[in-house]
Amino acid sequence: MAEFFQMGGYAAFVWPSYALTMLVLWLNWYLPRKQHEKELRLLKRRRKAEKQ
Amino acid sequence: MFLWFHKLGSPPHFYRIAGKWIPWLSWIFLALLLAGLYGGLILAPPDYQQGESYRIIFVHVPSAWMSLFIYVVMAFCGIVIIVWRMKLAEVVLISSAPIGASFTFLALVTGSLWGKPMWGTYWVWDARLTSELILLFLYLGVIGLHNAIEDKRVAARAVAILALVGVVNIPIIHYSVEWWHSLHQGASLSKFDKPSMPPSMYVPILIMALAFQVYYVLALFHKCRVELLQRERNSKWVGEL
Amino acid sequence: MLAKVCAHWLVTGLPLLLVAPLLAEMLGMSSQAQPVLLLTILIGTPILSLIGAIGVALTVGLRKGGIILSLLVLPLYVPVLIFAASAIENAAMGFDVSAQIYMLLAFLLLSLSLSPWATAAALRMSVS
Repeated sequence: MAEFFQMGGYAAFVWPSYALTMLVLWLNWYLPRKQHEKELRLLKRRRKAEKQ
Repeated sequence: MFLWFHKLGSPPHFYRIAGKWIPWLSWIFLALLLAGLYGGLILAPPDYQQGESYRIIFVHVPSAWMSLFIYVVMAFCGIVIIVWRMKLAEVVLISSAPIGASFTFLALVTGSLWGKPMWGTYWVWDARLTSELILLFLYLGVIGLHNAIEDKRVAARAVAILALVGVVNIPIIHYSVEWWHSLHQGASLSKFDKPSMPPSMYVPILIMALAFQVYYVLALFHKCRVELLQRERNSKWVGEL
Repeated sequence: MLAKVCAHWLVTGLPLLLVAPLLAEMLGMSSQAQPVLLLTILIGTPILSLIGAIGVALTVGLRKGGIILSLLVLPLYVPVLIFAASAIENAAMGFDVSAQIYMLLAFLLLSLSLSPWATAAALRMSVS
């Protein structure tokens, strides 16, 4: 197991590449989702204001 | 077929369809990603020359492919915008830009992390690296130009022209390795009938590439939905959501 | 459109072409590289003018146009600069430079055919 994480001495290069890839993919997925929710909340609030 | 295309092009319809597809795409992407990572990090044998460091290939090459592919998609949207003024193409073009920029960034960074142990340097000004960097600036230019123009429909036309002009850069990137002697190794997978590496290495690359393709559609749908809501804030279908 | 770009080239590219031999002499460039330098400037500068026209047309109505303009145009300039620099480097070492010159000529033809169309489309969009 430890051998796997050492990547034959290249751990400092292999793991950051994978970590960064996952981080960027996650951001591109998470940020629009959050914004979508915000947009829907805004819409709801506006509709409420119109009703009153 | 045309009717289907026409219907898909209408914002409310696309919004609904994309929302339905998103959960499916998420699970398919996750499954492919796990399969690709397992194949690449555990099953694939170490390279006889580069040892374990070559494993960066499983994220580097698919990212580089996607960086080119997404730009071509954007240029295609550009044609559709200029010729038919289709609203959905405008949304797809501008939503693709940040995703494409992300993959370009990843290709550059993972490439330099691979270059350090192999070539002894993070960066060389060779053809392929330079043109990938140019591609990143092209993506940033598209995003910047779109942000600078207030009217989003005018902005979309401007960005469409820019995407078409920039697409000239794509063949330059693609063939640069053949044109110039460079440090960068040749294309990893060029001929499918006789690849230069064993299946245990290229199959994970293909799985990861497929995973990234699915991811692109997934992220694109998420971004398009937000963009559609923002653009059509005052239209009837958004009011009925 | 082409006439406008030509006029622009006459006030930017042409002076550069005239000054270049002087600068090359002053900086001690080898004599075999000098004709190649002039040739690359002769082919290269019109390409820069043609690409620049597209960029200006896209950003003409914008407040922060200057920054965006350089962001749009500089990446498109880079291939021209790379091929021209590589030609001069090869010439200085006494190698063949025809490949780079043909490449630059191809860029010139491409931008000559593409740029007027793109500039016109961008202008129509900017003024509408």
